[in-house]
Amino acid sequence: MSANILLIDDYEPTALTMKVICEEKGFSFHHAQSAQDSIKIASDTVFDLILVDINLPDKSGTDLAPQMRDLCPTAKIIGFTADKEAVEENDAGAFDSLEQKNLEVTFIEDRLNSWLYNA
Amino acid sequence: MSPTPIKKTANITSESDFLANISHEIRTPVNAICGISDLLNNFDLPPEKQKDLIEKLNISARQLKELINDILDFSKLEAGQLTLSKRTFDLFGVLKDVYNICIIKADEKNLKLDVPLTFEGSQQYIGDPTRLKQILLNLMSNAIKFTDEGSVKVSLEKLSDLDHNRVMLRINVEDTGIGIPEDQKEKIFDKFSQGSAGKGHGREGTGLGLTITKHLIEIMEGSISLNTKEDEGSSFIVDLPLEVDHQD
Repeated sequence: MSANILLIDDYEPTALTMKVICEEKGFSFHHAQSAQDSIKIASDTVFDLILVDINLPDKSGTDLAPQMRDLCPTAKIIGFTADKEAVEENDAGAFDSLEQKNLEVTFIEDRLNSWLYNA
Repeated sequence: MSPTPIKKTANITSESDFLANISHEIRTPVNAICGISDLLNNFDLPPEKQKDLIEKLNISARQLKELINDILDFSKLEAGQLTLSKRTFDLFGVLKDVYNICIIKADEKNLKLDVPLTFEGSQQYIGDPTRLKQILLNLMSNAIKFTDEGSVKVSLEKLSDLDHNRVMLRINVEDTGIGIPEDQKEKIFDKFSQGSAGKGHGREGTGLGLTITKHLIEIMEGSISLNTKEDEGSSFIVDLPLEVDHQD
């Protein structure tokens, strides 16, 4: 049940937390700190799931989503933000869904199942 | 570039942006603290991985502490309840402390950090070293945050003797960073403002740092002005009256 996951987020504590949870669950985890990095990584690798932070250093995650869609047409692309208001006030746009960030283990395990397997 | 005198704090124009920004800034480290502590509690991880996670937990906790301190300071300043202490301090001791904190971030970004550690004038002054340190730390951290290449330079100059006991010192914090667009120069000290570097530009912060800095300088009876040009850099000039400790 291995899947290839890319997290695009410039906050290191978030990235390490997600990496440990994903790897403990047996997934292959990749991390990009900026939109530019993510485009390079996604040009070489096929991902099943791409989690995109909204506030990236070089571009908004919302603007990056369509590019990710072109590079990885089969991936599920999720907007994943700490900004509760952004989730409440915006529709998903180019994302498959826009969700509020929560890094607690059971939440992430549950969301990974849902994002990857529609469980 | 001639210095732009900074007007008294203007009306709130972006309070809702501030609230959205600050809630994001608070939730980001809180999420990491909850997530990492939950991870450490739920998985039997190897010691190296545990160490990495605890380091990141500490980064997030410190970040949250700084945010809370800023919000509390800002509330006290707004309510007129912030009072200054008065004691003898070594100006270069303060500069050295700030340098030691800022050099870590400057090194991470490969920036040159130039801080004077000698000065022809007196080194011992009477005032509030904690708040002076906060002013310098805010200006230098800001300069580092908005500079991607080049340097951040602090210079000191005695402008005049105000009377037998007091001198007017000029502290200049100069960077080679992104600068501030002309139309935002006067707003940069307003509460809740973060110039062009707000959301979506990857520069974290509440937008309170410069407001707090300006308030602190004003209650010390000093002034702050700004020279800046977009894409060339900024220079924050602080003129501060300080009481000389003649026992120096």
